[in-house]
Amino acid sequence: MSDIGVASNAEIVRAARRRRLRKQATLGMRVFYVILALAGAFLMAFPLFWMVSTALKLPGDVFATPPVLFPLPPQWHNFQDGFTAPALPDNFLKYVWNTTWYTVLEVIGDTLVGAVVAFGFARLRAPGSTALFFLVLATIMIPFQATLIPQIVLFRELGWIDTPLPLIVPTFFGNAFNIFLLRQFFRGIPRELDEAATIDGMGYPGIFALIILPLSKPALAAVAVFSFVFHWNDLIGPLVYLNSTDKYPVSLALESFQGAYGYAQWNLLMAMALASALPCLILFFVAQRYFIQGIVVSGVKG
Amino acid sequence: MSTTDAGDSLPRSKKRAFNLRRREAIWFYIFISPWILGFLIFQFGPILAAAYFSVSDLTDLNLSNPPHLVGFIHYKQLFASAAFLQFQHGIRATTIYVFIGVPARIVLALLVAQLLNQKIPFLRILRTIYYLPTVVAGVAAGLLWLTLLDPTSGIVNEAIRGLHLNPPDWLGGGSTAMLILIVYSCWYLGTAMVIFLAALQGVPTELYEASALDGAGPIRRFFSVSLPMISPVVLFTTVIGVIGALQEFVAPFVITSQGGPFDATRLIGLDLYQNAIVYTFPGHGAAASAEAIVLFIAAMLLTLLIFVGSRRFVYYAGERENGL
Repeated sequence: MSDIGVASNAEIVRAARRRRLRKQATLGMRVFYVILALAGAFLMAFPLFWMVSTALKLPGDVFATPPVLFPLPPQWHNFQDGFTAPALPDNFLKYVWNTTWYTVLEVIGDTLVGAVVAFGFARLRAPGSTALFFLVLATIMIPFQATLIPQIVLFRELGWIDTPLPLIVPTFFGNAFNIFLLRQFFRGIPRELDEAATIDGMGYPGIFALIILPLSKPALAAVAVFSFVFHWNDLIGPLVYLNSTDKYPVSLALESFQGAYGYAQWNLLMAMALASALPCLILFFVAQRYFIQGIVVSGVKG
Repeated sequence: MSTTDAGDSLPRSKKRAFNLRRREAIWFYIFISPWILGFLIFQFGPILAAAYFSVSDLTDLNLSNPPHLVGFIHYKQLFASAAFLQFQHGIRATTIYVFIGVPARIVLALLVAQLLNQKIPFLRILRTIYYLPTVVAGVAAGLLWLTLLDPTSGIVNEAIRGLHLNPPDWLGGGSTAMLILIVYSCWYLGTAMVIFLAALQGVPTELYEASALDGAGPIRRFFSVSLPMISPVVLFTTVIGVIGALQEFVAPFVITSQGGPFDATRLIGLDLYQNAIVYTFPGHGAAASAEAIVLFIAAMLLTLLIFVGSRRFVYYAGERENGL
């Protein structure tokens, strides 16, 4: 009896020690995970920190050894100087304005037409609809450059070269990614709502505009923010289609006029890079949950 | 459908149902008509046209000099002629970029997602930071990296010198320049990371508990539970990543000054652009069109390869039956 009692006591002690060890081990693991995650985050964020830091530096501090991390006082006038650099063909704000109105129209096209097409695929039955939807998905696999040359020929024939039309008009024909994302979301809206509306005598356009659209604001916002970031940063489209410098968007202006800031005038160049990235950064911080939701809907629930 | 025999007794309602179904089908085609038009005008038509141009003598990209058929000489030249060395280097660079760069980013994104799926503090802030670079795509980011990597005064080399090491001229050598492009693409792991993180959070905890009871450690649990459960989204992300890598343009254009040094980073998307727009040799439009067809076929083959090759590894849970 007592033998067994002693043995089990020892076992209990051993088990307790093992538990404690495991607890310490998991605590150790967790500390390790946190350090690893923070180190990775540092590597990810450092380039962006460096962009801000350089944008606010005196020219002399750009080359300083040891490097200046926090420029004091911050040189806010770098933005002003960058916008109005004498070698620029136009004030930099001109390019910001160009990008803004191109992008706004492109976002409207992507979102609106994406929703119309997605409604068809999500809600209406017709012969061939499944095959067509697979075709939509398949077009995601077509690289942009594969169709570029005939598109250039087409836009030349239309006389659209050196206008933003080749950038804007195609967004009004629906983009596979947006259609896919919105369709996934629309399918999650209960069909009973449509049926009730049908009984009330509402047609499909009414169901789309008055029932589906108002319930899909998060998905529409997700498509809009992705579309904004994509078109705002697009380089190859403007590079191919725009010739006059006064029509350039910021991406092309930054690329073409690096030289306007003199050799390695990085404080001004980074000030302009930051200014051109700022709309997307602000949008991200304001609408972060739509970015995350949009990715999750298209990536995971796909 | 079994009512067809009893059709005569219910002619009106049958007709009504037929009409309703036809009305629905007509509306379907009305709603998707923008996409059908866009597909024909901007994708299907252009692919056919590119195929035709590629076997023609198209030079400038307009039809004022109608192109004539000349056969497959451009394809032969692209792969065999010394005049297209840049393209051949481009194939090599693109292959490295696709087969090393894409897996590297996917694996890193998986690691980060797994890390952020642990019970650690600051999860939301960390997720935001890892995603943030994705928002700053394009030329601004490219110029930023040029600033970081400047051989004499860039912060990266300053740091290496601070450790009393001799820093390389990152963008001056072929293999280091390609390494930089790959690291740069890994900086954009945010989208894949968010997808993986959401998928990991959807894995039922019972599976982890069961495998823990069976004595599986964290690494075993990752490979035996997490990875199989999220394999469909890994497949999806890989396909999208490969297509993205095939059309990458900004990085080699801005960071490695148009595919340098010595064409080491001349990705195919850049080479095609230059043959189409920048260079003006006779038949450059046709040669670039042949490249476009090669690129298109490569994209289709790689997608097929990934789908077929992954069949053994991808696990679809039953709940996916009604999805797509």
